[in-house]
Amino acid sequence: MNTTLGSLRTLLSLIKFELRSEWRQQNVLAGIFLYAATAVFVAYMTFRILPGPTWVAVYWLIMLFSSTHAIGRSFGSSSGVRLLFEQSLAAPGVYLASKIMYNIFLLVLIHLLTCLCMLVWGGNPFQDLVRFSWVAVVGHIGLSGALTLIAAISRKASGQATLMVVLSFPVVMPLMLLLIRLSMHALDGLNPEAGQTYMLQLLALDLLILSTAFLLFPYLWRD
Amino acid sequence: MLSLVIPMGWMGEVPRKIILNESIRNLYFHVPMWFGMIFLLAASAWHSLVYLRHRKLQHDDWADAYSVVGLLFGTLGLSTGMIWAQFTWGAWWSGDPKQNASAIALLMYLAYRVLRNSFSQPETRARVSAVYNLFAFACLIPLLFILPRMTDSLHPGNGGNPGFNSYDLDGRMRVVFYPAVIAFTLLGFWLSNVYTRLRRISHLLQDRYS
Repeated sequence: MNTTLGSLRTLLSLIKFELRSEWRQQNVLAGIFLYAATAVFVAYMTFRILPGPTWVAVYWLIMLFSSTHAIGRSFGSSSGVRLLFEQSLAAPGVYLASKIMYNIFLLVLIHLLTCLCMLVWGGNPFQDLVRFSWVAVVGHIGLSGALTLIAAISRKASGQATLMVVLSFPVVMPLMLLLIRLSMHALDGLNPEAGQTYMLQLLALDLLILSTAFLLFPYLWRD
Repeated sequence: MLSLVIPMGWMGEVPRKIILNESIRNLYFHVPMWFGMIFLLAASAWHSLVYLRHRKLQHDDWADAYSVVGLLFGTLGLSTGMIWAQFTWGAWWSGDPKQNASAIALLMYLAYRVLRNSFSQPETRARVSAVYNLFAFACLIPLLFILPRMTDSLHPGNGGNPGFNSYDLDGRMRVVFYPAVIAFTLLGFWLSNVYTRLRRISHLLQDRYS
């Protein structure tokens, strides 16, 4: 009991630490947000009119690219000394959890910004915008889990940006397919029961990704 | 076994189903490729797991070899499927969920090759790529077995198309099909064996002359 409480406290302080150090490098964060906003604007300028399915496709593409970009540096920013310090502080599971939770937070921020830009420029094609937001948030959990693990892997392989993209895109594809399917449901305002099996599959996929990430991360950790 | 399968596959008597007709023969070549690929990739994932437990580099060699041959089988499976699709569906690529899913699977394992080649130190390479291999395999399972069932597909066996279920596959085909699966899978494992031994010899030669 005591140890769970202790690791929970470490988790919280790690996330706080992450937040604070990100806050200090505001230009990096601002760069990521600008990346998403610019991408939306480019999409808007090329398409001009964004019908529903295109809206969804463009949204998820931009989300995929900017989240790969954002999470790709989640292990890269720490210098060797800081990494060593963090590693000595926490167990690998706790450390990974802190990274994943911080990245979920980051993805939700990017999601809000991208969504806002797309709603302004592309209009709102959704009949059920609330459901779309829920689907997106549930998707971000899995996305964050998969991308965080891949970021750790590509960091070990001297952290080339290409490698991050190449490794992560095929892996998150099943997730993307489900998310697009569910977004289409929200687009047409289908009865929520129609999408129930997909929602369950999405949750199952999230669970699968997170559990494999937690099982495998300790092996990456030790050097 | 292969010497039985190949002539029988080309010349044996086959039942004539609607849509499929003679192209049903592809069952002997295309389908065993996928079975073989799944078995080989499972073996590769298994060796990665064993490597992470015991840290013996020979398991990494095995994982490497199985993934290479699995990739070869996947490519052959996809191309035999595409040739068949050109004549049956009228297009090399029609965006069928099964085609898409297998293309993603191939991309995953190509990425695994890229990852392996970006290390210089064998231990780090073995460890990190084993982690990716297991993660990719975990993502492959929903990709190949769950997602294609979500959407309608023209692929035989889906959406009322004749496939290889118990009603369509008659005794004459079973005699060839089951040996074909076993034979091609064994061929895959033998190829991986040869590949590993070749790699070991080249490592030894490199050590000796460098």
